[in-house]
Amino acid sequence: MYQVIAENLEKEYRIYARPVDRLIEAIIRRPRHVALKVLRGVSFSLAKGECLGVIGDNGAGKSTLLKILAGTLTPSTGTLHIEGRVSALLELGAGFHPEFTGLQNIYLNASLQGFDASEIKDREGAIIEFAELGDFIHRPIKTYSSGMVMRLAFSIATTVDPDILIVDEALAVGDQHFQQKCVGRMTSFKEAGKTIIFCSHSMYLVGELCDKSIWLDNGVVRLQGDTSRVIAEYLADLEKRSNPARQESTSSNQPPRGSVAPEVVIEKVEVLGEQGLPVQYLEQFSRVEVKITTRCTGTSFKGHLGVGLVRPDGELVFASITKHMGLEPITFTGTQSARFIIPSMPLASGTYQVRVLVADEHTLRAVDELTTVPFIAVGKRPELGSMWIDHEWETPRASL
Amino acid sequence: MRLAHFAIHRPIFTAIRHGHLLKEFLVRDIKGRFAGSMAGTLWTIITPAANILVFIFIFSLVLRIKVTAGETGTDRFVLFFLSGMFPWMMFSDALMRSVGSLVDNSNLITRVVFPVDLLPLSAVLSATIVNGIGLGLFLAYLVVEGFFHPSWFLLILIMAAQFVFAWGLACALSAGCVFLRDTREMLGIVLMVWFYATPVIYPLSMVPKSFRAVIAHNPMGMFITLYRDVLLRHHIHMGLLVWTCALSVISYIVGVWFFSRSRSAFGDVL
Repeated sequence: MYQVIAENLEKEYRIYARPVDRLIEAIIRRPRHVALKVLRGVSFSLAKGECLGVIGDNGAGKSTLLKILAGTLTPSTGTLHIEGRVSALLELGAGFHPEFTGLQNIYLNASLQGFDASEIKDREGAIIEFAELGDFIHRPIKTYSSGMVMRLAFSIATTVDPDILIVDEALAVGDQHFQQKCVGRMTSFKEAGKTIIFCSHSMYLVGELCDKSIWLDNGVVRLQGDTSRVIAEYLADLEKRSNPARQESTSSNQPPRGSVAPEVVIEKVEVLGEQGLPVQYLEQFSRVEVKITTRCTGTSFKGHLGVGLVRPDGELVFASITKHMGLEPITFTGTQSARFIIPSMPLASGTYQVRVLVADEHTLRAVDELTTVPFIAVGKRPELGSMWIDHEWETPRASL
Repeated sequence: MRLAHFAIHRPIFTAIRHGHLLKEFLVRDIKGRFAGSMAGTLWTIITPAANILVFIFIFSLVLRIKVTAGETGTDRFVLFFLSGMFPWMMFSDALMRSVGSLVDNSNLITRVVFPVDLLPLSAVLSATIVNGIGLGLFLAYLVVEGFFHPSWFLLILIMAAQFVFAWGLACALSAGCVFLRDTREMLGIVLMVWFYATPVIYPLSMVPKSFRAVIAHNPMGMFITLYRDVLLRHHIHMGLLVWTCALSVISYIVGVWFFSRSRSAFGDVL
């Protein structure tokens, strides 16, 4: 059974020329505004125990979506079905009274969430312990640092035992230690079969926590599905936008060809996935084949083949040339095909292109060159960096 | 007309179901005002006690105004004045506290889901409690002066009606203030005019005949007449009581209607 079902959520902010117009409209129900759509057609469903990541640029509508899910905003159209108690950590200091002590605020905040005194009393100790506030719990909130406020807010939101937890970019102000603690708590939430909706700019945290993700772009769902895939696409898009000029020059599918037909023409380059079929997404550690079809324009030509993996910004990640692998020169005649096989693709999430090159016997001259359309690698490992490198660890053991 | 959003009983039900939260709000409203001060909530007693003493001094020893026992039940102006002043303060304080109750708690409304109806209610309640302490002190003084009478228990009825009257206005004002912040400033002026249009510091007999009908039919004027009649003359004008109860119900219905119509937009505006 689904615990959260959102169908076609839309949010429209109404821009009024004068504040009083809003009041008049609310009463007589005739439009007196200019509409600004910040969310359009957002649909998704979440089963119990699933974690949904929400990613996207600033102003893409992430916070609006989370506020609608938490119930502090009403969607303009669309339906939202939520089962169970929701605890939301939307912004910092949610509902804290600056003059009251941390302890008094625990009571105020938890009763806002529908708890009565005896229930809070039972959890008081756990909340204080998790927040690591020590004696500060007896001082007014106004004396807290932003990290301390966040710790207390997160501690309350998660200790009240909700069925659905909504966290909006709150972990950003915490130190590394507390972030890890929060991630740990959220992970155990998931294991306990609770549903989490998490929004962050840290792709690492989203990748670590979320099964599914939604990428919001200008209020529209650009992509949703498997987290690693969504992150990969999002990162690819970021890269493309931060480097538009270089992207233009290298993504061209038209290989630079002279006016004279080369001796060997690269007809086609296909990137094949595990089933031997052309794919756009490649999972990390899966088998990848690059199938190169060449046609010799003359009777025969001796040369070498090269295959390179390039990032959209033109940086070469890896390249291999048959000559360097100790292979004899290839004799090209007629139409032939060659395969370049990667048994276990190590690339982390991102966009890549395959560049294929035919060179002469001495690899001094490029005869023909072709770059494929970009494909997307989908990382499977939480480790950072651009590729997986096999390794081992030897860590010091505690001496007795 | 969509009536789905408009449930007249809703604020009452929420108040009962979320009694605990209401209590937290009340504590916050009352204690929050005195947070960090040494005497704390003791101020809720000190302030009205000081008021009473000052008024007794002024009106008994300095400004020796007389009212007629025939009209008001006492010839001591200070008793006449205070028996109208405390109910008025209860009322005006309730409105002043509630008008900003949504705007001032915007950080709660936009971040936490909770029954928003409790905010104006808790403002009215806290005003009733804080000023109720003052009224209580005044009642104690009246007892000393020998005014006690069993009819005083009717006060509960009058106070309840006045509470509902203020509650309805508080709902409307707090919601109105979300959309039009000027409401708060406007209310200050309206209350000032309303105060002088209500026979609090003057008996009705001082008003020129042509204005008397207007002054007498002002809702707060009716409430205060009821208070004075019960406190000082130990009798109640039933017709007036029915009238004020009807006014309270109308105020409540209109206020709650307005509040529930506009509540879905609170999150957008705040």
